[in-house]
Amino acid sequence: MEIVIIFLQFFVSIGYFYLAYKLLMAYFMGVVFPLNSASRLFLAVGLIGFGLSLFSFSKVGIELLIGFSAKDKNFLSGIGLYLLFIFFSFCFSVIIFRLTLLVNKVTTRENEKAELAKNSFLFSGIQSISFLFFIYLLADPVIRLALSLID
Amino acid sequence: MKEIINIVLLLILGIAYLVTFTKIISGFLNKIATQRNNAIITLLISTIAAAGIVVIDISKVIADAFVFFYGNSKIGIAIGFTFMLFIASWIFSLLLFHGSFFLVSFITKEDEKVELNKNNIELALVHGTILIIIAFLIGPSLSQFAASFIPYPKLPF
Repeated sequence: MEIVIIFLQFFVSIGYFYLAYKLLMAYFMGVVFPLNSASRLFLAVGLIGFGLSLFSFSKVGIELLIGFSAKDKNFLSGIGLYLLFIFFSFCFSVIIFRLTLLVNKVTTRENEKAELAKNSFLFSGIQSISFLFFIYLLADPVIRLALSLID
Repeated sequence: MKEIINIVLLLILGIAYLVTFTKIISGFLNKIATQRNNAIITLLISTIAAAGIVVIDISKVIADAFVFFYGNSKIGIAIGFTFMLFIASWIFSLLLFHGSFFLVSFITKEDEKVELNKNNIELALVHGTILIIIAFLIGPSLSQFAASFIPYPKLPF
């Protein structure tokens, strides 16, 4: 079963990062083309943030998968549950990404697209730190919420 | 229900924490610097990162405390405890920032305000790294200290 889990995680991670990259690139391409240094920094940190979220959700998802398949001998339902968790993780990351943009837009009263286009490292740095901050701060409570919904 | 309240509370307090802290530090750095150069930006971003590390460490205790108090039907205490810990980490992060100036001046033997105005990125990076390392080092002890205020039932063994 461990080998199946390794392959599952491997392919799910590739798919997850592919989608995350496409989504972030679509956003940044809409702001500035070709990407400048500030946008590249934010893109890299964005991918790290998506990865951290995947890491947190995946850990719990795998524990659920193992527990589920050991209890009910129903491996496919366990995989379904794991994939549901990965989907939650992706949605959570997208929401936090959008929320970070919104929070900084409201508080700094600056147009984030214009700042990124101007290659503002200050704006990009604050966005990046805020994004990682919210991912770290909210990942555990959101996982608890997802677990309570599954119960 | 308690999970949703916990998430909403953490989200609101997290936004308030980040916004107020950034404004205060940004204002302070604007006072000491004549213009916003790369060294100032480096220091500002490192300071926000350090403040984030402190509150992320404590947030695990905050979430546990909230669930514990809420489970014991002490909703007021649950919300109050969350507020108090956020305020405590905010004050600690501010003290850490101001205290780190003394430490960096002691280590480098240079007048940091003058050096930052001269766009000394090396000094800003040293200061930022020291801040982040101290936050990583002190964060776990700080959360243990915060957890000691939660009246968990004592185990018989």
